[in-house]
Amino acid sequence: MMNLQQCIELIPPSRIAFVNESNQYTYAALQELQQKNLTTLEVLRGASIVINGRERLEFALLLSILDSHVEKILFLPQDIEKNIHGKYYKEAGINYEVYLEKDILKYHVIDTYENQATQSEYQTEWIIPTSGTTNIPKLVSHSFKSLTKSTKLNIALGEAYKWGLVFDIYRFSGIQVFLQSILAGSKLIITNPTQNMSQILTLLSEKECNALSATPSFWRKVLMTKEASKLQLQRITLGGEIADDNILQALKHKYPEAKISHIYASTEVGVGFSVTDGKAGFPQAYLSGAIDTIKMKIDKDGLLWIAPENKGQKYLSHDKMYDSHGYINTGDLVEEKNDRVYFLGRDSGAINVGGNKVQPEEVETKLLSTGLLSAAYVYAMKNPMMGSLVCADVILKHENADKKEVKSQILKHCRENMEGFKVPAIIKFVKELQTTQSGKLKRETK
Amino acid sequence: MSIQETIKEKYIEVLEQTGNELLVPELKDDVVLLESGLDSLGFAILVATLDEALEFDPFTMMDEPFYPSTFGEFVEIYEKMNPNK
Repeated sequence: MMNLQQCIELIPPSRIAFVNESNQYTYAALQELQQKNLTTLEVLRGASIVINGRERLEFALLLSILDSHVEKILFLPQDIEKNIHGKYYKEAGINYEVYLEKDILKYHVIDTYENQATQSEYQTEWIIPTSGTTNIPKLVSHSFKSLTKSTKLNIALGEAYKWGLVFDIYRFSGIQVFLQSILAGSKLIITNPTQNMSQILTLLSEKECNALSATPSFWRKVLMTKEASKLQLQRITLGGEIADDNILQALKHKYPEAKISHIYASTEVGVGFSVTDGKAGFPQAYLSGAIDTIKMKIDKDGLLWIAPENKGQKYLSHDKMYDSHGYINTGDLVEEKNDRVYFLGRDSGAINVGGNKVQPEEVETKLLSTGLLSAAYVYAMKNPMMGSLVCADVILKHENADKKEVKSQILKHCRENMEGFKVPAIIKFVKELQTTQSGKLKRETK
Repeated sequence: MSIQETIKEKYIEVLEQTGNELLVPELKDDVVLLESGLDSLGFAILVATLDEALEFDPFTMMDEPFYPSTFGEFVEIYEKMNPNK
């Protein structure tokens, strides 16, 4: 694979690369942007730079012109606390913070840099923070090459696709969508995370979005809006959280023309694999070599380990990422059942009910499988007797349904299909659920 | 509704919710809690449910831990610790 700029040069220049609610850049404009800023790019050559919480479109532009010019680019999303910026800058050896002002590349000095760059081209490290829903995000170093191993370069086919970006572009999931779009010369429609779902979907349908990758939580929200019917989707991808049968079927029903797949990926592993048979989990055969790019194993605690094909990625902190056989602990608990492997949840997210471990995701899946709810969030509530109790915030599928009746039906369903300690002790009906910048359910202990 | 009535109502609700049955003919003051049908998880759920309904949890408010053994003692704790009386 070449570098990002060389890929951009191959694409018919009149195609639109990025568009948001107020701006639009063609592939030609990306090349012009680079030409316009050559002097500054020369100053930055070989340095390590940070893009700190700038808007998504600005980020996409900066990345497009800076790759292969600098040694490292640190992606710093808005939701990372300011008091750890210093630690990250030190870890990554950051020299400059960069930004764009009316298409002019500008920078602030973070640390002195003596430009003695001799290379004309760098294999720039893309430093991506993990999504860290439960603890401080770790920095993982990738490169354009390591990230694009599994991305197909198909410029002829790419013209037909208009990708919507709803993931955070500073995170692995968002970068994946960015690369998928730009490497095929497709159009990337960049949404604004401060807008509500109805505004986001309006922009996507106005710009004729036909390919969209999002978390199951995001998709559940989409299906609750009127605007969902305006989307003409041909490709639907789910990632970042567990895709259950319920959401996969609901999407199939809503968008019968679309090719639906759910993807297993993480910042550490990169893209693991995708599942296209419309069912939750993945075929057990994947464990025994049915996919040639990665190797997988399940340890005695039920944790999934993956050995990626490309092992270029590492933690910037030098923490150990691989075991002695090259496998990475994904932290995801899985269960093998009827020739299939199902995800149960994050190892770190278990709720302890009187000494019994409960995976919130397992309870959420069970709640959703009643078909009476459009979304569910399961969390721990501290309790003096049991340590914690399982609580659930749920959204009714039919707003006018009798809450008491629904509650008794879902509890009955849970009791019949799970051990007693997993059944939610408290069920609250809510209007909406909070999601993070990455589109995942916001998980907190109350 | 009095506190005692609320507790009785929620008690029956939690019994149903946890798939248990009342093992005594009637919830009277001298009924021994652990023989009434609710297990320890059920009690934890009952306390959390009452916290939602009454907006207080007497067990987290007590200076010294006290575990009621009969239904009467259980109700008494709620009545005694009620911040709204």
